[in-house]
Amino acid sequence: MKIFLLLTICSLSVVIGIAQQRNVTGRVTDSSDDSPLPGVSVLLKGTSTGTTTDGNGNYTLAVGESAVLVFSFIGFETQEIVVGTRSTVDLAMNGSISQLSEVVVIGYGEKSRAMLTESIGTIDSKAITQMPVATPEAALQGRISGVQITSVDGTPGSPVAVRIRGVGTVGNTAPLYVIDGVPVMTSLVNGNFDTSPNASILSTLNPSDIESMSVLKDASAAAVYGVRAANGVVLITTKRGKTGVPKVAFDTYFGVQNFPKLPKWTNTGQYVALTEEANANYNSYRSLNPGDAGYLTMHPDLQPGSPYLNVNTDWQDAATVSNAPIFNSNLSVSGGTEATNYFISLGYFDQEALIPNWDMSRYTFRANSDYKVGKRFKFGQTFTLSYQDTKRGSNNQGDGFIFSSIANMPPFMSIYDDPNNPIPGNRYGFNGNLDVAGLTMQNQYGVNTIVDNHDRYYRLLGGIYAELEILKGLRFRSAANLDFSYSNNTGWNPGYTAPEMGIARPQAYNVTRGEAYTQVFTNTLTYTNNFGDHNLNVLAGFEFQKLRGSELGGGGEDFLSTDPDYYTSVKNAGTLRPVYSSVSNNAFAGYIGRVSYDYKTKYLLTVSVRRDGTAQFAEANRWGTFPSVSAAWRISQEPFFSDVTLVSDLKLRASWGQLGNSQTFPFPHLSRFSATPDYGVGNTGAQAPAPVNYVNPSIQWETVETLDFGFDLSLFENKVSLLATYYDRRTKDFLFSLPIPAVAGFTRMPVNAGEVSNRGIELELGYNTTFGNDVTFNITGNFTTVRNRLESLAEGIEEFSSGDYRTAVGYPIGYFYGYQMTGVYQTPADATAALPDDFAGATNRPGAGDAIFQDNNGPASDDAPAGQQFSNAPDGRITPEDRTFLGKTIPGYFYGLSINAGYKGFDLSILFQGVGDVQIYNAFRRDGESLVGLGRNNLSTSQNRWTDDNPTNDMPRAIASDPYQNGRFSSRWIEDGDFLRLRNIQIGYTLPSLLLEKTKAITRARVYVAGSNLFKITNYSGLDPEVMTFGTSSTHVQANTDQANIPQPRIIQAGIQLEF
Amino acid sequence: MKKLYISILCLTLCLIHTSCEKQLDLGPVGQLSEDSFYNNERDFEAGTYGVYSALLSLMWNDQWLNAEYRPDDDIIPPNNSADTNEDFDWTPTNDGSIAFLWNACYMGIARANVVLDRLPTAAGFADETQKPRFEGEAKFLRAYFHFLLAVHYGTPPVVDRVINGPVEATKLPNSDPGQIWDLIISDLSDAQSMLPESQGDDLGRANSNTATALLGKVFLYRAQWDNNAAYYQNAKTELSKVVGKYTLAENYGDNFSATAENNPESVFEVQFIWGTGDNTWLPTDFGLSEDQNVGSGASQRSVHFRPGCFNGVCAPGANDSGYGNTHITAPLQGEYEAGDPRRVESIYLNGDEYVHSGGETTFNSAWSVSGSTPAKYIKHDDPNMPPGRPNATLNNERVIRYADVLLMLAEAKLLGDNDVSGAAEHINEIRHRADPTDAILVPRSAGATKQQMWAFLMHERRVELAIEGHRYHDLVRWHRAGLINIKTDINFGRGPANANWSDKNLIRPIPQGELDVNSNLKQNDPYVGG
Repeated sequence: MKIFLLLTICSLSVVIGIAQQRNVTGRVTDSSDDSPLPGVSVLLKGTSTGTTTDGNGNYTLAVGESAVLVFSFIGFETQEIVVGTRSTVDLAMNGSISQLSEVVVIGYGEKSRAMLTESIGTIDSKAITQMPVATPEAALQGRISGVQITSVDGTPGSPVAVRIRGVGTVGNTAPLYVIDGVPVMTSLVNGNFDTSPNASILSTLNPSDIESMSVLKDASAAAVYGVRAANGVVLITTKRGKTGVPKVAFDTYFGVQNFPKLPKWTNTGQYVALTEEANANYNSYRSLNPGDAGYLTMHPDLQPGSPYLNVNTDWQDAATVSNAPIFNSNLSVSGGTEATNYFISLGYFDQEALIPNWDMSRYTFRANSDYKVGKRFKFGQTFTLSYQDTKRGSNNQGDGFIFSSIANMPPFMSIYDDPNNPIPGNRYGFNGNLDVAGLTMQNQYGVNTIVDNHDRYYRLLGGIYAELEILKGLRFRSAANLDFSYSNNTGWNPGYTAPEMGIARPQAYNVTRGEAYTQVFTNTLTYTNNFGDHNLNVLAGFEFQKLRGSELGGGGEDFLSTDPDYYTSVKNAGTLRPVYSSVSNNAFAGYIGRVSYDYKTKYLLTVSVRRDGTAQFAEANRWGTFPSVSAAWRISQEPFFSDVTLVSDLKLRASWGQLGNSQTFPFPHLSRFSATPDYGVGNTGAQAPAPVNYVNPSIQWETVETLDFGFDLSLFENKVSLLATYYDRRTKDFLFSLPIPAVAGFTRMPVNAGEVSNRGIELELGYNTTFGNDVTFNITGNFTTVRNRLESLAEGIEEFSSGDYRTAVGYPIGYFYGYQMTGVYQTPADATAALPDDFAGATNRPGAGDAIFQDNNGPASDDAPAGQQFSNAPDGRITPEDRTFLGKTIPGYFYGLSINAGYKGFDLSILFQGVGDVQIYNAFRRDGESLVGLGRNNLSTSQNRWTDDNPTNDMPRAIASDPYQNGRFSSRWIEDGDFLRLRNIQIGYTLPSLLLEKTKAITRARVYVAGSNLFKITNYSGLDPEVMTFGTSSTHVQANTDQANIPQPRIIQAGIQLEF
Repeated sequence: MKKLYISILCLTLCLIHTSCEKQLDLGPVGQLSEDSFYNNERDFEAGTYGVYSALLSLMWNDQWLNAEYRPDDDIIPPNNSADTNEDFDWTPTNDGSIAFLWNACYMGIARANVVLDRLPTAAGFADETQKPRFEGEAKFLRAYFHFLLAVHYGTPPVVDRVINGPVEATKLPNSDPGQIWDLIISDLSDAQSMLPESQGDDLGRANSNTATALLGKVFLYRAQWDNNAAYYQNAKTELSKVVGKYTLAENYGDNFSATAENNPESVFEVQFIWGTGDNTWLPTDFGLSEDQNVGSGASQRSVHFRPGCFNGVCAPGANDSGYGNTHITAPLQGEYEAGDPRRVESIYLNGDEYVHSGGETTFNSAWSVSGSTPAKYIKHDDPNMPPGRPNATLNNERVIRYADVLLMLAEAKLLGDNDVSGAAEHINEIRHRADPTDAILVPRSAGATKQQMWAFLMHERRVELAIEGHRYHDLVRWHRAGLINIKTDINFGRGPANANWSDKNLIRPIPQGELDVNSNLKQNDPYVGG
């Protein structure tokens, strides 16, 4: 380090020593509006000597002969000017699109990264398109500190759980998405509050159309979004044309996807042996002898000689698709003149899922343009149209349990009929395995194959804006935007008999059509000016947003023909199903104010406020004010820092602010009545309205208060950059659907209760260098810690549990709550001495081979303080009070590491991503290690079960019906979910331009191969440690439960990118 | 020019913001709200049906059968593995029906309380004298739900008002001993006086006789639960008031027939109907609290009562319209007197005519683990359910029928007044209806001893009311009153059940999930430190 410093100083002296000095002055302006540019770096080429422009864009610099000045400023193209003999060098700098990543899109504006006082993370189009994913927010994974991304499952377009700086609420924890200024709806079907959407709200966007995504993490950045910003805001900006001749870009890729890992199952022989053992253990447990009532015998179908013993079906193999294709293709034309620009694109995406019949395809069209009329007026538009079709197999929502319910079919059952001995009436060739071994199971594979369910979304998202410069620096901008979606979801179940599918179902066709729109009308005034060294940017505005949605559905059964041309007309049904509909509405209004001020670009201050109203709360609780302030000090701009050449830039920053989260069930303050259900009065249906909600008139939004400290540091001429932030996010009065005693008539009520804190550190470290002239190398890493803690709940409530999850003061939200299994009773004597167990019941005493559960607690005594439920001391019994903390669902830390390197035409990029300090409830293994015998298949890990010969302490014995409840929710099912994943690796080659010139058309050509999710390091035994509970992408109360949803596919892909 | 711009701008902004703020005045669309409902007769009529509809949720599926029908000596489960419910292996967590019954009853109570809460202030009534009718119906239903809670859980919380507001309001403690009976009795007394004697064509709605019959039943139960013989007099008084208001149906089987619903013998029956959702696998108001009512199922009784497969031998419609979840114990099969015509109407035995969706066949005892499945409700059910609904039935649930009233009256007379001949009279009415010849079911002699008559009465109740959900409650109350000893007198037809039954099974545990969220609620004694 010292040597480096010395060298720098020496070289400086040399330059100064030999040059003949004279002064050059000049003024630097923005070419787009001739406004002065303060803070532009003016350097003598090849040296580190230089200056920056003042508040009026002026500079003075001593130069020597044949000097070349390098003008650089974030967001503008760097320009080199030969001074020659001139003493005045003025320059109009061009805004740089290619370096747009340096300009950060903030709410209602933009800022250069250097001038940020807020915590904002961004990714650019290159990073977004690197991952072959259907929905753009999935591309954020591993890229930005503080942002944790978890896909709900691996089916195309599935919802993605986005958690910004931990989990701030026990309610809805999804961020607000703003696409080109439009805060978008939460559901594509009816625009309504939707906690478990079928598809990501962003899945209709073409990731290739996106220029950048900004994640507003702290209150100062997000406060301008007011009552909806508490979980953070993701701003998505789409591409616009650049000045120049029309440029045509075409890119396409094709890939194949596979399961990264598959479990193993017991075969028929092992299955029968396990069942026999389970039966024998049960008979002896209950002291039953042959002939006694309840004595278990092996079903004749599984006794020696039965033909079923020769069947050994690999159901899992049928449930998985090998080399499922993924294909993406984009064509765009962009260009512009001084006065206009345009960007037009077409996209097509098609992805098959890893299980049959869950495929997605999408078409997108986009046209964005801007027009300048005279010097003061400009206007423009964005427009996008998309169509998406997702198949939904035999579930109508998520992939659910399709994989597991196919894979765990008993191995002695067959998928298909014996072709030599067809079952009459079997039209599909599937085997219903009717009453094989006394079991009735639907042939899930068969049903999943023959159904024809589609979710089709049509979405129009666009708007117009106009901007007028009223006075110098004072601009008025008005924008009207529309997000309209239309959904047409259909389901056809062809009808089948029990011999075919195990269970008979009639044919049925259902159709649901929904339309939803949101209109946003935004008016802002901005004023930008410099008063000497004082730079000021003021924003004032008003925004109104209206959301409406409606759905209408109907269907029928008993069609004369199974031809789609026939049944898709519902009126042809022999029996019509009831029509149903729903309607929803909401509105927001907000006043926005923000002042950004800096002095000499050194001392930066941003103050913002939004006064926001939402229609969904009672009038008295409707409006809230959300203030924030942030400040930064660019120490490196100080004179005393000019000697520290090691540090190229250093900025200290701090912010504080408040935000709101209003995402809850609409109108929770009103007692509402549904016209349904009906009641039969004398066999005639009469409407029987019933109250639908537990009323809490005082409900309002939750408030998040965020405190941030951090610094941005660049070293060695910006080769090394470090960003570090400490954050403390406190959610107060969070909205929650609190489980309440059913005696109230409802089991949940909306409340504002308690406080959650999320504290942690975000680090981003980058290193950027070149070796020689040919090798470029860039590595960036990010690391985030989250310490989530429930600080308080409502008065008198210390905790609530929701099934196997509990949320309690002093613990992270939604932790796993169950019995601690400490081993297995090895001998009958051990088991006889076991503690009484209230969970299993007095008549179900453990035996040798049953699980040992820990005694932690007893019930609180009658005189215990209110809210205390436990005695906090072992009481010599196993009771429900002994359930305890088994693990947490919010990772303690997560990280990403990205490496980019280039050598001549070759480029390489690698992305690692991981999480740590988190647990998973492996419910899939719980089903697969039930050890009860006849029923669903067991995983082959069940071969490690306790037996006299295998005295393990990890897994209990097999016993029919599990009388002691070994399978109860316990630590046995909780596993560490830490993982490090190679998310993506890509190697590309850009053809030399000399070669391309000969084509006279192609200006750039790059080919690449890439792999996604190629390997991971984890101790987790399930398919994929990236787990979100099925159906809950936006809340965290029952998180991290692995039902073997489809894992993230392993993808091998090749692509080509061309420009003309 | 600039000034003009600015003025226009300001004006526009002002206009926008006032008009936009008004746009925040939204309410739920497509729904009734408290502001727009519970005003006039029409609203309360509909709102009262809303309380009845809670009965559909309560009775729609297996959980109802588990809670009310199954743990007794009439029914056993199909397979050989353990069944925590039917084996009396009850814990606060191991059977879903424990929480199901609790939740469904309190939902009904909450709906009744809303009606009672709004009724006094409703201003839109054209005829104020209509109000008592709605109050009576709501109180009748509130009493019925509380009665179910009392006989299952002992002293669960009593809810006699609308609960809303802060969470503390929901944390009701266990009721005091007797408190729940007092509320039931007071509600039913009110209902008795407020309800009209007839609801006209509105079949299925409670009238004053319905309330009186239930009140009599409640007194009879209380006499035995509290072991206080004084209540036998109240029971006798109330049940006697109903005598003559109903008649026994000529055909015993009509009481379970889909085509003879609401017949003259029916005192109170729940009117099953398809819900408006499109999913027959869910109850009629499933999803209501999520604003999406998706259920259309009426009752799944038929699918659980009809036979399925046993040891590879399958009944027609097995696993489709019949799951074979319910089998008749040997003790019940043996309880019928030879030739009792009620036997073929109640249980299927080998060779009986068996009608199913595909046609007619004879019942094969090999379909059943015990050789017999229920015929009640099934024999005269409509075998041809609409397509797609093989699992559901619209055949109403008979909650109280006149035969039950007569037998309860006989019981009150016998136990309260030692009136052996009075008891014999009612028992013989029942026997005569079943066998008008009096040759097969010979009338009981009025000269029998009290003990003999008590045995006759127990027999008559068992066969007359078999598989109607009364049996276990009868056993429990008789055991409590010291009239029988379940442990020694009753054969549940199943080893584990006989072995496991103990005094703690006289009451259900309070669901653990409920205790988890209510620190004021205490577990029932037998389940504390089991």
